[in-house]
Amino acid sequence: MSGMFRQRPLAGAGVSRRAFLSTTALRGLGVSIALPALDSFGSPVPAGAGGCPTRMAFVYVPNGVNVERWRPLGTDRDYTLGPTLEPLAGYRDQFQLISGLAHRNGTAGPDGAGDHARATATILTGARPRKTSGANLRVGISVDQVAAHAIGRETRFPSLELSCDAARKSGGCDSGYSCAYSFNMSWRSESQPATPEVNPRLVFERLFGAGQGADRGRSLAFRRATRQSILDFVAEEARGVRRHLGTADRRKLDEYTTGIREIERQLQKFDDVPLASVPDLDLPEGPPPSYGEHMRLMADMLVLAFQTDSTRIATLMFAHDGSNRTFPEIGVGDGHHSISHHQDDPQKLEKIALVDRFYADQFAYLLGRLRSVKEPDGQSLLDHSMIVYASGLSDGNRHRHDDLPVILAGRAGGRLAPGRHVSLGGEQPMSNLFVTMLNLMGVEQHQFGDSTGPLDAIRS
Amino acid sequence: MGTGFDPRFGRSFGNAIVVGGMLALVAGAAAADDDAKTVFATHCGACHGGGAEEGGLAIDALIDRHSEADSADSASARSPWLAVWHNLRAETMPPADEPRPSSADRQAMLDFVERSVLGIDRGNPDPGQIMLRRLNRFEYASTVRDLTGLEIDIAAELPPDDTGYGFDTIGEVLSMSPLLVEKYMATAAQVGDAAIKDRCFVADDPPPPDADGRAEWLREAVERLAERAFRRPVDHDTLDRLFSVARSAMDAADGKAENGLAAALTAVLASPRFLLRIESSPNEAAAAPASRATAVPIDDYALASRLSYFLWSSMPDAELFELARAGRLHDDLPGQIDRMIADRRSDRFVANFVGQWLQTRDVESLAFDVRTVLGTRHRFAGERIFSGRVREAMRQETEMLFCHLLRENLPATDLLVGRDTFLNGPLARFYGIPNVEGPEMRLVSLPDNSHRGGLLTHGSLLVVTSNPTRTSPVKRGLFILTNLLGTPPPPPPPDVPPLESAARDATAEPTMRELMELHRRDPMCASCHARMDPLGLALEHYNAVGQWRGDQAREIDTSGRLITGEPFANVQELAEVIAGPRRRDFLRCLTEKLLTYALGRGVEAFDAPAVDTIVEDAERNGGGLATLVRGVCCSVPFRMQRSDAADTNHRGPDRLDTNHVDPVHADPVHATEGASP
Repeated sequence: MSGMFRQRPLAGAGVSRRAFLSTTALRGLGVSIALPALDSFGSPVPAGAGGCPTRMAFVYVPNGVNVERWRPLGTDRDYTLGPTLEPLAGYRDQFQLISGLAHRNGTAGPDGAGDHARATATILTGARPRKTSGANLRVGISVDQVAAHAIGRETRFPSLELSCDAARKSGGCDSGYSCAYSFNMSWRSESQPATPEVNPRLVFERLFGAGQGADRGRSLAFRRATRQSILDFVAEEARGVRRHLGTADRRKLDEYTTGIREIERQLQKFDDVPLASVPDLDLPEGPPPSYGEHMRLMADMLVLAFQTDSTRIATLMFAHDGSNRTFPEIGVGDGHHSISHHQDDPQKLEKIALVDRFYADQFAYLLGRLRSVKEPDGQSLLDHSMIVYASGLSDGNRHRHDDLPVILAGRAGGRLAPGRHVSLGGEQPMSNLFVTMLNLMGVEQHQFGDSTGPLDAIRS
Repeated sequence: MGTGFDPRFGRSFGNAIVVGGMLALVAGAAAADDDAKTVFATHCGACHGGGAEEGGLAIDALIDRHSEADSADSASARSPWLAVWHNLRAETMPPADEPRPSSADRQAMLDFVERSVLGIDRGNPDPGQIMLRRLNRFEYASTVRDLTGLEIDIAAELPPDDTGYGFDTIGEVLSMSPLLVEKYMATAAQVGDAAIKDRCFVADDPPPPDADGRAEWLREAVERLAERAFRRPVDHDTLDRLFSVARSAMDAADGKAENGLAAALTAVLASPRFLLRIESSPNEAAAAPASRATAVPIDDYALASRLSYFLWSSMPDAELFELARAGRLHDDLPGQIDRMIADRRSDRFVANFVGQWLQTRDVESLAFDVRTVLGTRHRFAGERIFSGRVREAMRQETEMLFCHLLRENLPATDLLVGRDTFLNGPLARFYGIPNVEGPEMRLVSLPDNSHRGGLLTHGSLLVVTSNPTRTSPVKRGLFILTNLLGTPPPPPPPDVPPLESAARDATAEPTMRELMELHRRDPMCASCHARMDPLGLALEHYNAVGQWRGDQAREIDTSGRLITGEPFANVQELAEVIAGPRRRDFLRCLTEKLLTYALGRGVEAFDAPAVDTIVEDAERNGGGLATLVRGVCCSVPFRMQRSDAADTNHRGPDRLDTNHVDPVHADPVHATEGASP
C-alpha cells in the first residue's frame, strides 16, 4: 500500500469490534439475558408543572390476522375478548379495542398489486405511496414524526424507530414498490423514511453509551467532547459542498445538514443534563437469533427510553408486511405470508391464529413492562402512554385494508377510556385516530393524512 | 386469426395516416414511419386494431392519438407505447403461435417507437442523470478499511440500507436520516480513536521532534488524507479548516502529531464529501466548447470513483488516483478495468452484485421447515442435512462460479450451461456428488450423469425461490423471467380472484402441475401464469432446499415452452434455450442489472442504445463476462453525464426495467397453493 498509511502487519490484523470499541469491554456472547426489574432504579422524569409527560408508541404486526379469532364479542365494556387476545386478558382495563378503522389509501386504487408494501407504507401516514421501484419515493409524513417535529425537542431524542427485521430480502419486495416502503413505517417527510434500528445493543448504546458502569457514561461524554470541533468543520463542509449541487442533490445534502443540526441541538440542550442512571445490560452483540427474544428486547429498549424520558415517541415494527417468517418457537414452520393467504383452509387459519397469538404475547410483555414502571405521580408509565398495536391488513387472504385490527393501550394520563371495545358502527379513516392522538400529545392539528375529523369515541 | 393480417384494417390504418398527416417529420423519417405503421397493421392489427383491443391495446388508435398529439411527453401517453416496445424487443409479441415478423419488420416497428414516440436518438445518446449517492453500509465499511488500513468491520454497526430496483446502491433510495448522521459521527470518532490506540495509522516517516517540523508533517499528512478520503483534490479553504482541527487536537495532546492526524481522520470521515459520492457539476466538466451533444464526459476523478465503487465497493486506489491526476483515466480505461477485475477487491463486487441479483445474500438467512420439506420426522433434519455449512457453500458456489467466469472472461452463458462448478465436501454430499471431500470450495467438473450443471440447478437459486415448506414454481418462474430473461410479467391483478371453489373441485391429490393448470383456467391469470409456471415447473425435480427428488423425480413432468415458443423437456434444455436462442435476452437482462447496480439508478428506455451496444460488443467478442463488465464501464451512462443545457430540459424517466417483481403475490396461492396439500 502506498502513501502515508502503512498496512497493519498481518499477525496483528483483525481488530475485532470489541477491541475497536475499546470502551466496550467484556460483552455477553449473545446469550439470553434477563433485564433487571426496570422499576428497581428511580425514574428520572420529574413531574413538572404539567405533570408526567404523555408518551406515544406504535407497534406493527404484519399480514393481517385470523379475523374470526381476533374479533371480540359484544361492545363497549360488556364484551368478550377473542381467543387470539387472551394473552392480554390481564390488561383488559388498560386498553381499548377499536373496530371499524380503515386505510383507504392502502387499497389498490389505480396502482394495482402491492397491498403489502402499501399496508406498511400507509399505516402511520394515511397517505397513498407513489408506486416506484426507486425514483421519487413519496408517501406522507407519519403521525409519530408529526409529533416528533412538534414536541420532540423536549427530549434528547425526538423519536425512536425500532424494527425486528434484521435480515432484509434481496431483490424486489412487492410488485414494483421500492423496499423502502415495505421496511419503514415512520416517515420524516414525504420522501424520507426514518431509518429504524434493528440491534437492541446499538439502541442501548445510543441511548446510554457503550461499555460498562462508569465507562459507559464516559464513553458518551467523550463522544460529546470530540463532537463540537468536528461538527463545526462538517457544517462548514456542507455549506461549501451545497453551492456546487443541483436541486435534487441539495435535497440529499439537506438531509445530512438536518442530521447535523439535530446533533447540535442535543449537545446544546442536553449536554449538562446528567444521564439517567441505567444499570448495565449484558446485551447480545447482534440481534438475537430467537425472534421472540428479539421482540422482547426491543420492547425493553422502548420502555427504557420512555422511562428515562429519552424520548416520548416511538415506533416498533415486529415485522414488515409481506414477511414470510417462520415460527419454530410455536411449531409453525410455514411462512407467515404464505399462510396468510389461507383461502379458508382451516389448517392455515389455525396456524395464523397461533402466529397472531404469539405476537399478542409479545405485546402483552410490552404492556407488562410499561405497567411495572411507576412514575413520580404514582401512576404507571402505561397510564401515561398511548400505545397503538395494529396491522395494515385485516384479512390477509383478501388484502383487506378495512376494519383493521387495532388496539389502543394506555390512558394518556387519564384522558383515554380503556377497558372497552369501541365499535364505530361505520367505517372511519385510521387517520382520525391519529388526529386525536396528536391532540392528546399537545399537537394542535385538526387534519392528518386522509382524516375526516377526530375520533372522540376513544376519549374518556 | 390465422394470418394475423386483415386487409380491411390495414387500409383504414393507412388512411388515418395519410389523412391525418399531422406528424411534422423530415420526409425520409416520415416515409419510414408510414412503412412502420403498415408493418404494425400487418403484424398486430388482427388482435390490436380495427376494433379489436386484446389486453386493452388498440395499436391503430394509439398511433392516431400519437399523430394528433403535439408530443408524447406525458407519462400516460408513453406508457402503452413502452409496453409495445418492450414486447417487441423481447419478441414476446406477436405471440409464438402467430406468424412472426421478419427481423427487418420488427426493427422497423422498434425504430418507429424509439424515434417517433420515445424520442431516443441513437446518434446522440442521453447518459441520464445520477443522483448524489450515499455510501451504503458495505461501501462505507470497505472505504474506511481501505483508507485507514484498519482491519475493522463496521458494517454491522449501521442499520440495513433501503433498496430500490433490487439493489442497495440506488442514489434516490439511500437517504440520510438523522440516525445515520449520528452513527457516522460516532463511528468517525471511534475510528479516530482506534487509529491512535492501534498505532497502525501512522505515516511512513514519523513526525520530527521539533514543533515546526511536526506542524509541517501534520499539514502534509492531512492533505494526503483529505484527498484520498474525498476522492479528489481538495480546495485550500477546506484544507486550512481541517488542519486547524488537527492542530488543536495535536496541541491538546501535548504536541502528539498522531493525535492531530486522528482528529483530522475523524473530521474527514464525518464530512459529506466522504459520506456522499459527489461528482463534479456539469459546469465544471463541460469546459469543452458548447455543442449540441447532450452527453459530456465526467471528470477523471468521478470516473475513478465510479469504477472503484462498481468493481471494489470502495474508494479508488493509488493507481487510479495517479491516472485521474494525469487526466488519463478515460484513455486507459480498458487496462484499468482488467486490473481491477484481477484484483482481489473485486470479490466485493461479486458478493454485492451477485448477492442481490441472484439473491445469494439470502441463502443463509431464509427460514425453512426442513422436516416438512423432506417429509421426515427426524428432529435435527435441518441441522444435519441442510446445515449452515451447506447453506454457506451454496452461496459460495454461485458467487465463485460468477467470479471464475469474470476473471477468466468465459462466456456469461456458461453460468447457465457450464459443466463446471464450485463444491466442497458438505455441498457435494448434499448434491449426491462423489469424490469431493473437505471444507475447501474448489472447481469441479461435474460428471455426465450428474443432475447438476448450471445456475438453474444451484442450491442457491432453488432455495431463494422456495417457500419454507415447499417449492413455489411461480416464484421460480418469476425469478427466471425477471432476473435471467429480463421479461417480467405485468403485475398481477390487485384482487386475487376466488380460487376456493376451484380448489375444492380439484381431484383428491392433485399434482403441482394440475393445481397450477386449474389456476390458469381463469383468463385473468392465464396469460401471465402461462409465462411463469412452465419455467418454474422445469425446476420441480428439486425440492425446496435444493435437493434432487430422486425416484420421485421420474414422475414429474418438467416439459414446457417459453412464451417466445421454444420448447424444452427439462431443466437442462431450458438452460440451453436461455443460453442459446434466448441468449440476447439473457445478456440484455444481465447488462441492465449491471447498469442498475453500477449507476445507482433505474435503467430507462433512453438507456436502450447503451444496453444494445454493450450486448452487441460482447456478442462479437465471444460473450465473455468480463467483456460485458468492460462494456458497462465504457458505456455512455457510465462515463458521461448530461451537459448543462441538456440537463435543464431532460426527459422524465421511463422504466426500461419494468421490474414488477412480485414474490408476495406470486408466492402462495394466488397460485394454487391454496389447494396444495
